[in-house]
Amino acid sequence: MGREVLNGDAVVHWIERAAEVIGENEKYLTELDAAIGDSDHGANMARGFAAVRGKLAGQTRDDVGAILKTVGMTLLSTVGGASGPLYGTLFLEAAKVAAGKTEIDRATIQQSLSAGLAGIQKRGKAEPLDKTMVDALGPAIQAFEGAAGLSLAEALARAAEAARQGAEATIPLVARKGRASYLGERSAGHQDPGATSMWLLLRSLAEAAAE
Amino acid sequence: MLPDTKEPPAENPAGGSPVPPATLNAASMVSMPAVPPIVTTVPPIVATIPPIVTTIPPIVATVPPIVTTIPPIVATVPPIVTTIPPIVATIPPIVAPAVRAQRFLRLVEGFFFLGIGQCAFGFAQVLVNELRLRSRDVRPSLGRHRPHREPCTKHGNDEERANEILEHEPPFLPGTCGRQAERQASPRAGRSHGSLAVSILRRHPRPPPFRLLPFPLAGRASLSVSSASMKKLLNAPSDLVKEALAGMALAHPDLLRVQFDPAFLVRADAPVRGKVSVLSGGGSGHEPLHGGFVGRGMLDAACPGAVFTSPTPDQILEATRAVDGGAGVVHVVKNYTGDVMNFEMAGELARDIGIATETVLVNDDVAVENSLYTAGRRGVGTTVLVEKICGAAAEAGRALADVAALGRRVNEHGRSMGLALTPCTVPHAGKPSFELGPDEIEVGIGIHGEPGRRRAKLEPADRLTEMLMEPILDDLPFRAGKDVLLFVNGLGGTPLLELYVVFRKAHELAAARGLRVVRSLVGPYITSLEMAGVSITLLQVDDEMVRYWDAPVHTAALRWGV
Repeated sequence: MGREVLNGDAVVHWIERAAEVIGENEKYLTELDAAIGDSDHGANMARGFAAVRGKLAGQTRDDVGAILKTVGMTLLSTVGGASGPLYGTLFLEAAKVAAGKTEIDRATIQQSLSAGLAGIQKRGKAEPLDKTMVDALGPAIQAFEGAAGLSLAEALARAAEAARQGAEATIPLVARKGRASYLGERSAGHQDPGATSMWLLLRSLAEAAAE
Repeated sequence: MLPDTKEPPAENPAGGSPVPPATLNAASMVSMPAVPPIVTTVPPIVATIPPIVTTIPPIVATVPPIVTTIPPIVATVPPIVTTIPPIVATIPPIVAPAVRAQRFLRLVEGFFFLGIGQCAFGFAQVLVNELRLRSRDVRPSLGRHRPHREPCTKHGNDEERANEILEHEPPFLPGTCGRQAERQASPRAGRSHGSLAVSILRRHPRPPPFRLLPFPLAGRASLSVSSASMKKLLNAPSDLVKEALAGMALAHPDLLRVQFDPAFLVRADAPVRGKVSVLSGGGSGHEPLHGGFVGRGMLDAACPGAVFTSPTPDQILEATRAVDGGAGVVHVVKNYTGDVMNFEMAGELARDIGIATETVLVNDDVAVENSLYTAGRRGVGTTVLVEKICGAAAEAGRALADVAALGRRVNEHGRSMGLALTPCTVPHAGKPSFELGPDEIEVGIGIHGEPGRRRAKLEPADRLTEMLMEPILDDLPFRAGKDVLLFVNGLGGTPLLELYVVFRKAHELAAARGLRVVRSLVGPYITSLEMAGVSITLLQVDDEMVRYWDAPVHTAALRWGV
């Protein structure tokens, strides 16, 4: 099973799966955020992805770029906080790479994720180890690049696993960006909520590719 | 207040426009049970017993033969003895062993040293102690009280070990910091809670003379504070902001218009042709900031996000478009990661459609260390002053770059710091964002219910005012002989009566540094839902700022000169 390219249906399936997983983990994400932020990450992400799901229902699926753009614009206008612009940027940058394509192959997926990461870092001015979503997305892209010999689904599963490890590795870090940075040393010992939701998003991508 | 001081609208009798409390109430009116002071008196009681316990072991060793003579004595005080058992039964096991041991030893002590009369007295004393414990039987339950997990300023920062102990070894006294807990816990690994109670008791000196407390205690109610369910005037959390906006539109049709999807407020006559517009926005929950400042002479538009969540770029873009009169729009942005990014994107989008924008970033909170390793200082009280002064400058016809430059100058000359007496509850979260013991405060608090810089003990208002004013005055740019505007702000749950007490002391402290308080503002203008607490903002003003501060303003929350 699995496939070597993702068409519009698969991308929509990915986003629907992500909406489901994020909805299920709303409380968990909010709890992570309550420890070092302002207790709104779960609610914001759940609200945003629920809106995306609604928007995608009426979307044609022959242009992956257009789908990703809809996702990005919807997240941008519904999530708010810092996550809205950051996840919005991820999808908008990815949409530029995938514009006009009916399906995206391995190389396009990698370029899209890399462009998204660059956009997030430019927008949020975050570096690796600042205790942000960059710490999940960065290792995931590296793992995906390094899994050249594997099938697409396996490579994405590797990427998701790297994201999980990256999210967990944020626990001892002292935050240097975002609201958690106000806590200084007190932010250490908690997993970053943004890195965690990034992992959930990438895990959904791997699942969608495996089906 | 000084003769030239502008009256805050909260006490402004001028009719027509509702005062800020009304605005606040519309958004979130909250009644949280006040923490009864009784709990604060508990530690001394706990301390009553130790000296006796410590002195007894040698005596016990010598006593055995005497003990045998006790039964007849017990028999002489039947009424007293009989009253004890039910009381003992109500005391949870944590305390009981200590109490029983103490009662026994005190009995022995009394007999040994003072004979039968003293022994009877000892019994009476035991009974009294029992009654005291009974009357304050909040104490064992305080074992479930969650001691704070923040670093304690007095005992350092060794949180890991301390928290571990707090985690696994309750109960501790209320307000026990991690380090104290560690000390209490360290010598007695594996002992029962009973011996833990003794070891805690031992460390405390003999208490002040006994005062009988009313019985049964009203203080019991305080036990449920931390788990109290949210008590707010709301229908559904997801409708809160929308419904409050609808209320504002109905309450102030002469001042503002409200638009939904995306949500924003604009002044009633927007766009004003040829005038620079001033727009601000941020999470809801800070009312009257920002919507209460929309009107003539202040904000042209406000973009409210969800509670404590910044607005989105499309909201800001649409509001920018709605108020642009052709002369450009100034965005007043509080320095929070989310706000900065959303306004940044909105600014880029506005530029794409040909609207000139300038951003004034407010970062005045001296509680946050300003370094490369944080998101920088937060924007708090100075935001109100920037919005007023920029709004007046725009109303006076100043150009976009001038209004923005003036706003930045105000930010550079303003410094703020706040403290919280109670936390606040975000409706979606349903529980307080942090917990404070009955006698604890959070110093250096922001406006989003996030924990502050450190935790401290509640002290008299003058001392707390010093705690805020000293870091403000020590920060640049205040110099003796300069004029300042002093702004004492309520965080939502603190009455004006208390704010004026703080103002009085803050005024005195500013004067002591040679600063002349030439303008003032007192009231809840930038709040944190129902949080009780205060923030102080000091702005070193120049003539231009004072002129624009005095200029007419007509909004829901600030109104003068009209």
